[in-house]
Amino acid sequence: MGDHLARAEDFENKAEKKLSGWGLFGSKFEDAADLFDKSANSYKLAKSWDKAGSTYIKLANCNLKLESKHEAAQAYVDAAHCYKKTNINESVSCLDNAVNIFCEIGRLSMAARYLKEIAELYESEQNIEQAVVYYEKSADFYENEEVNTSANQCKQKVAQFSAQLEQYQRSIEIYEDIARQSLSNNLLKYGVKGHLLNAGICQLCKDDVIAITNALERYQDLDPTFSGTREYRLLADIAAAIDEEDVGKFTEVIKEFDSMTPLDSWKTTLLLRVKEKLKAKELEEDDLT
Amino acid sequence: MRDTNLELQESGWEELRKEARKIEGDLDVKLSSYAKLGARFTQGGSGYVDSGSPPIGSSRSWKSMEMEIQSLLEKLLDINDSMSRCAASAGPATSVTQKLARHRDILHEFTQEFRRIKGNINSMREHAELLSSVRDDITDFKTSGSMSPRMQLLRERASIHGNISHIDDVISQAQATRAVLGSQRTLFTDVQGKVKVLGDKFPMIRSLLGSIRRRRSRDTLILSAVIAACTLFLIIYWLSK
Repeated sequence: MGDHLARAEDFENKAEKKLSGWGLFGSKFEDAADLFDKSANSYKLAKSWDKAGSTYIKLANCNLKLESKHEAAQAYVDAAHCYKKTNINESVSCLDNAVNIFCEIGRLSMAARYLKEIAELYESEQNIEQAVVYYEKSADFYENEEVNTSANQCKQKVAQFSAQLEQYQRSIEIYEDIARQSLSNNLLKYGVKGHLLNAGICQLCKDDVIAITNALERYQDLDPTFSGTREYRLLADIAAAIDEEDVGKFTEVIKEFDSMTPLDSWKTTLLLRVKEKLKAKELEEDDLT
Repeated sequence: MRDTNLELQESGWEELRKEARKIEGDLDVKLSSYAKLGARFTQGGSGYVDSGSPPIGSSRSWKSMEMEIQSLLEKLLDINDSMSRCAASAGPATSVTQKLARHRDILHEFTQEFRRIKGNINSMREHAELLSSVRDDITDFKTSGSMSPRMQLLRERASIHGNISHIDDVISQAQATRAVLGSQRTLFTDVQGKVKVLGDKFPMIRSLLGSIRRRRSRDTLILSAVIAACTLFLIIYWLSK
């Protein structure tokens, strides 16, 4: 481990010396790039992630001088993977640089992939606003490249986090759009009721009974089989409970659904918001009487 | 003076490291009990019957333990920063750097585990809170009594839906493989570009040779001029004599 560290520093010093020298054929950047690559590899073996990251950034700069854009972008990606262990902000900025270079050389699918990786980094850091921004960019790029499955995955993430940030209308539009797309695909049509359930739950969070009723009618028009599913039954019963302002009925309906199909944490969070609004309304009514 | 300063830094380093190890041990114990608390929450939640009092008691101890772990993590982060400053001022020593990296890794692991357990406990608590009600007994009786014939079919349909999700995952993996193959193709295209760049180097060599040739012909011209001038001078001198 110490041996790797010493070798890494030796390679880095050689590379810096070669950069500062004068190259007869203009290939000093190429030689320095090779030495930086070896140095970064040795730093990784020594588990010095910060130094490996900074060395990969120098490698990327050398490759940019050589007009090897793809290799520069790849070096930035390697730097980001090293910084991921120690410094999230540096990792994000490296991936941003890689994405810009991939856009320049027209590799939009790889740009989309690394935008998604930035979004996942922000997600793991619990920074939901930035995660939404980058998932949106990634979905746009995937759509440009006609990779609809990955685009829809990113869009679902955008919808999920938008609902957590209480931007329900945005979530509703995304889920309905994905449901509409899935209907035209034989492989994906069986997941449509899941998307419509998510959209319906977001409608419930908006606390507008008329909008819920209209949405349920629209969903029946979209998918005729939806009206026979338990998801539709759940949404309709919850809408009725909200209309009657009956917390007990609300809880009963959800418990019945949950005993068959356990709700995941996202649905639990949103339905808990609906229930607390309903409780507040019920208490208000009691106070009025 | 310098030796005294070095000894002071070394003793500070050892003291910080001892304290870091102590906090790491405490964190390990508290994270284990925190996870057990989460498991107990799960058992309490699945019962649905006695969900009146246990959430409140569990919630209190859970919250206080969460704040304890949070403060311990912050303290460990401060100690790591202090050790980092000590190591930087003490000069480059390989074993010190390795130990520092090890402590940083441990802090990272504990932070990730704390975050994961906290997320789990939050979702379980929300789940229990959503499903608790004053009509638990009536609902339990009704649910267990009347819904049993359809439960088999619905559970089977849920498992089919799970299979569909797994198929989606496999398709995603195939797409990722396709992306990697695309990047390989880009790399090969870049190799071809580099070979072209190598070919471009030969015109540079040719121009260098051209420059050398031009310089040599210029030297020849200068030499000829000098010889001619000397010869002319010699002839003029001989005639005038």
